[in-house]
Amino acid sequence: MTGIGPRSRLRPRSGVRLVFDEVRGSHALLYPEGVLLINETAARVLGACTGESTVADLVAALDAEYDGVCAEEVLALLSRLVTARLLHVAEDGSPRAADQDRFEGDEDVR
Amino acid sequence: MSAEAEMRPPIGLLAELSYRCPLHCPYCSNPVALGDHRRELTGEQWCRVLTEARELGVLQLHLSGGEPLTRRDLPELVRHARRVGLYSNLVTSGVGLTDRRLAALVEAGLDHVQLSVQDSAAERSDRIAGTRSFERKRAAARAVKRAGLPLTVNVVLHRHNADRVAELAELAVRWGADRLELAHTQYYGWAALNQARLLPAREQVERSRAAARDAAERHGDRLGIVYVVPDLYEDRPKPCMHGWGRRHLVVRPNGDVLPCTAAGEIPGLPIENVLGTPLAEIWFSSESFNRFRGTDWMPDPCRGCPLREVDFGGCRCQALRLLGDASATDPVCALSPHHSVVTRLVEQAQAAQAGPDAASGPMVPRR
Repeated sequence: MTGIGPRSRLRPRSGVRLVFDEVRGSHALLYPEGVLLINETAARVLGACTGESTVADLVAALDAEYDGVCAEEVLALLSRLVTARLLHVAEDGSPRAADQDRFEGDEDVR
Repeated sequence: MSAEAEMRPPIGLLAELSYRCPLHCPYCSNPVALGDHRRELTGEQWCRVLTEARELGVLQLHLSGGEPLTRRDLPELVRHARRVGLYSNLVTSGVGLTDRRLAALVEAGLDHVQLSVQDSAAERSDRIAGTRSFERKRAAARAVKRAGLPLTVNVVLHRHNADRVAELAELAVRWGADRLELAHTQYYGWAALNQARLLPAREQVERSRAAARDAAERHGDRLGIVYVVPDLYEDRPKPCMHGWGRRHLVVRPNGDVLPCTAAGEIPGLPIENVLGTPLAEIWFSSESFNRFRGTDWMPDPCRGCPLREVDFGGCRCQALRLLGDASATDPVCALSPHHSVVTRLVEQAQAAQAGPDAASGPMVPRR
């Protein structure tokens, strides 16, 4: 649970950068110690997370641009990015539930 | 999968800018014999490496060492990294990271700082570091937060600090860190020399793991916690480097290019240098990067294992160190016919911990 809803305003955490990688022809999210290659739609969603508009605004804007936008899927994507500490919930009065998924556990074995 | 089928561009470059370091940690992963590595590439040569790395597909740059701040030209390297499109992480002891030096790095486009801390209190941290450095680390953390950069505190865990995970998490919160990496020692370089004095006993490992989970619950809203398990206590090997020649490459101070930091130890592995060969050619075509790429090189039991593309057979350097054969299955794997070698090591650690001088024995400090 990340406690985000339609009224949440999201923005990237400090140190998170959205870039286009010419070598792979793919959008990429760069952040402390990690890289996430993302598709066009995810990049469009992330690019709109500036802390200004709400998740609902964002879904509406996407809906105007693309066919078949699913609000639940957008919310799920954003939740995953909040859990991964790439997006930050701006203080806008939305409920912020305790986050149970922060422990990255045993995955980061090098 | 064959090496050719596995060919894809690398994501990360670990740039070991210099092996000079003010700290003397007994678990340092730098080579024990420095020899030729005292020679360092010039700034201009490093910039060429960074350009080639980006053209090859690298997105993440880890500026490491030794202590990268020993290079006076660090801001120029960071500026070049940003210009070509790399994300730059500074991996530092914090010694020398004053407000002034940090300001130059931030202005050049530095993205993130990873600061090492040896223990949760000054005296013990300084003892492991072999020099007074804790207060300078604290000052460095303050400088990073003042500059508005994300901060990771990195702690290498071993027998002498693994019981202070809760205190380390408190420290990370107090210092304003965004992330805390608790990484059990990997036994290469100096750490291999000191293994008998560093390896924690099983109960201590379990305590540290539980403490890391507790800390994640308590501080999860402020701190991301990454806990890296000590692989000797696992029954499946780590996916070392996420596969040989698959995601990462390492460039040493003198320009030697390696698939991992310890690969220079593998006998007969020909090492290419950026001064003689383009980075792309080394990545795609060199013998060293193709030696253990993909799955065709694998022996039994890896060859027929359903996990062969999950853990990639574990760590080549660990197989070499423990079995004398870099192409064997990592003996950490319970399916390895030589797994008893690891079991014995762990039993020795258990016995040493129970001994009277377990915490006070001399270790060989990194020079």
